[in-house]
Amino acid sequence: MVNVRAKFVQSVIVACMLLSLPSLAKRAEFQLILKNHLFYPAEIEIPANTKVKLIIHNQDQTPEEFDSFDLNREKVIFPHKKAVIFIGPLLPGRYEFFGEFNPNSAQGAIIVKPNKLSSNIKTRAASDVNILALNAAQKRVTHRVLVKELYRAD
Amino acid sequence: MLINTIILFLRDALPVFVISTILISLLQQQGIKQLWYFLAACSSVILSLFLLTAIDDISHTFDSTGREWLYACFYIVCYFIALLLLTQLPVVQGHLSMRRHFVILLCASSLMVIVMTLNSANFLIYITGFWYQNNASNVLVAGVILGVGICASIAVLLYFLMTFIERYCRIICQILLIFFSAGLLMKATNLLIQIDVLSSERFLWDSNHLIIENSELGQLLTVFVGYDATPTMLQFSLYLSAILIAFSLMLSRAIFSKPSPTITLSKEAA
Repeated sequence: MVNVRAKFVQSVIVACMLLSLPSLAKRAEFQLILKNHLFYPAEIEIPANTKVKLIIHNQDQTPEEFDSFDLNREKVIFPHKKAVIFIGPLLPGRYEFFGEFNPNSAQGAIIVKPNKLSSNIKTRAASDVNILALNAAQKRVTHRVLVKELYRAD
Repeated sequence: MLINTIILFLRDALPVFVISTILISLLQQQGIKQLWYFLAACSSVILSLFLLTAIDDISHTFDSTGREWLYACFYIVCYFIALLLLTQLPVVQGHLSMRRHFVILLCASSLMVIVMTLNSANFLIYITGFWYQNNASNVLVAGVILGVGICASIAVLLYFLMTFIERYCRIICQILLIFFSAGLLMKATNLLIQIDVLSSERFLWDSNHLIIENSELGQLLTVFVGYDATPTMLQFSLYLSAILIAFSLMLSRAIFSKPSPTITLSKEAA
């Protein structure tokens, strides 16, 4: 019975460790400032399908609660302090957030853009395909010229 | 600001009113008087004031994730306390042994204290932050009064609903407690995902177009059943397993428990 219990506890610990593995990864950081109940910048661009760390600095005299239904996040930020939350991985699109204590003024959005890396790869791949096609066309031309010359020689 | 205060009050105070009603009804059926509730409420007020003064420092521990850790741990503890309470409640109403009586009281009080302390501290952060703003105090007072009115009405309605359907009151209370504690577990997972302790995948669905999570109805559902408009697969599976575990525990107790000796004796005497 004791063995079973110990095994159960061990498996729970292992499961917790496995579940918390993502926290070991280093995330890209994005900064947001709250001043006069307004978010600066009001819009932040982040890459798609990536988890990022959002650091919010509250420069007001009052606390604020960062809230977003689109992102499913809420966090209290104390006056002259910072707060950290992790968001993503997200699909490209616009995800709005607001300050729950001042919802009329404190508003902003996270703009999720397709990964630059993947778009770069796509562009490079496209240009490679073009070069290959060009080479192939040139080869075909050269081949035709060679064949014509051979026929002439005959 | 008035609407905002009411919504925030509903979000933070409604869980306290609901859990109070559930626990008072449950313990009343066991013949336990309400003194425990007043003691728990008083200690919660004191503890929430302490938490209010310390929350700023707490939230800056563990790389500014201290508050999430604290709240998530307590919410998880709440779920297990609720499970313990469910296992200690007798299947057939009868005389409680001293030990069981003590465990039930302890579970109910600690559940009450944790929920009330965490939620009150949340609301106090908002109130204290805006109290000194120009023209804000009147609006805050009006919002709090309206909020108390709404929460008290819901709690009284719930209490009398359970009193009227006395026959099923116990089972309804237990089911409400299961869903309420599973909702707390859902909150804990949300906090742990937010600080990157649990992995976050894409949302399974987004039901905000049906019921907005921050609307009055959304808040009500969040308190009663742990409604989340955008859950992830991990959250959904944890929520389902939490409910299944609690129900199977309840069911197994109902099947395997022996009738209490008091009932047997009274039947024999009859």
